[in-house]
Amino acid sequence: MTEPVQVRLRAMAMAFDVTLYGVRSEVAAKSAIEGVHRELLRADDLFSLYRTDTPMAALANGTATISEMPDEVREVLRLCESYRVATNGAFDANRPDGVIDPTGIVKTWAVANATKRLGAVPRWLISASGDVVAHGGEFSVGIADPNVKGDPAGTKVLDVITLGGDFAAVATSGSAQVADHIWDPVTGEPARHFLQASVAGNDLVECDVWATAICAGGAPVVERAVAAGLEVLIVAGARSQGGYEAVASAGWPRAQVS
Amino acid sequence: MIVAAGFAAAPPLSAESAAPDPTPSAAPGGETFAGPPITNARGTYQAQITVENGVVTDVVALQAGTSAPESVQVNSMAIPAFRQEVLDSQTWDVAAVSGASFTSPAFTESLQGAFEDAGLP
Repeated sequence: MTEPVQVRLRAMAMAFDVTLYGVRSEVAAKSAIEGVHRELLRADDLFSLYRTDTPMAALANGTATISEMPDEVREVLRLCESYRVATNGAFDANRPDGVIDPTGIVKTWAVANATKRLGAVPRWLISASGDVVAHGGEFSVGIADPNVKGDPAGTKVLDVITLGGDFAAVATSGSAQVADHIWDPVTGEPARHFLQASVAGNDLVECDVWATAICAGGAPVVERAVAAGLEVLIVAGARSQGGYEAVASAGWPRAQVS
Repeated sequence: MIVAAGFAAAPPLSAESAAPDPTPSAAPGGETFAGPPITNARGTYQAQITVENGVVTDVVALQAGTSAPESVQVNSMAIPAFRQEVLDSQTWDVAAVSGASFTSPAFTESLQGAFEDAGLP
């Protein structure tokens, strides 16, 4: 098939745009996409805290213990804990009210898990409501304006990077719009260090975690992220005369404008 | 929507159609209510809501914390190895966009004030 195949999948109350290139046949494309969708829906079945019948919901309300959890849940909780250590506590799945909430990691974990179903596809791109991972060649990917609400697909962008070369993934977190979803671990207050943080790297989950951690912990966490080999674009604030104040790490993979 | 040559030719498979979500916009004639500016150590926050027929149709941030020049300087200086720049929003032909995906009524305190002014629960 010479035409790319593009679908929008829904899971976890979110949109996942999947584009496949160079698939052998429609049957192969359908099989790959169904495999991806199954994995995303599986994450819903395991981790939803809005539904009452999931293992994660049982863990959160105290009717089940970690040892009773399926392997995938334990894997995600282990990842949360290792990133809590790596970010010096700036990423922390333990909510102030004591409930373990790995929501911050589940979306990108599910996407990373689902990409295992794309082994037969030579080139693909997944945009998971703002977090993007690519394989098999270069793609131009925009960084959203911090004022964009909801799914940023198709909106104006502040910057453009190249994914698929040295960097496979980018994730963006905002403190302006999701301020009350991210807590500063030092103050215990909603975090308001930057308007937006984008992190580029090779592991989508890692990028997601560090983007969240930077919004929660501010400048010291940025330095840790760069030391961990990631590249970062921070939108620090809006200028009264228009535009945004921003800072980019030295290796930020900005696309070359032709 | 994702923009690239030839994309639209492929029919959606079993999954939902790849049509863009409808973009909500503030209704003309909606009434706006600005919440009180709320200041903390990081800056000043102020929300504004647009209400039409008792329904909130839009929420915007009039002020968003770090926009004060001095706090921008503090943030930037704290990351010495970084390039400082000014970025403007513009239209580009890209395969995807990375952004902070979930909107919630941030600036809660200011929002609450705006809701009270509007006579909303």
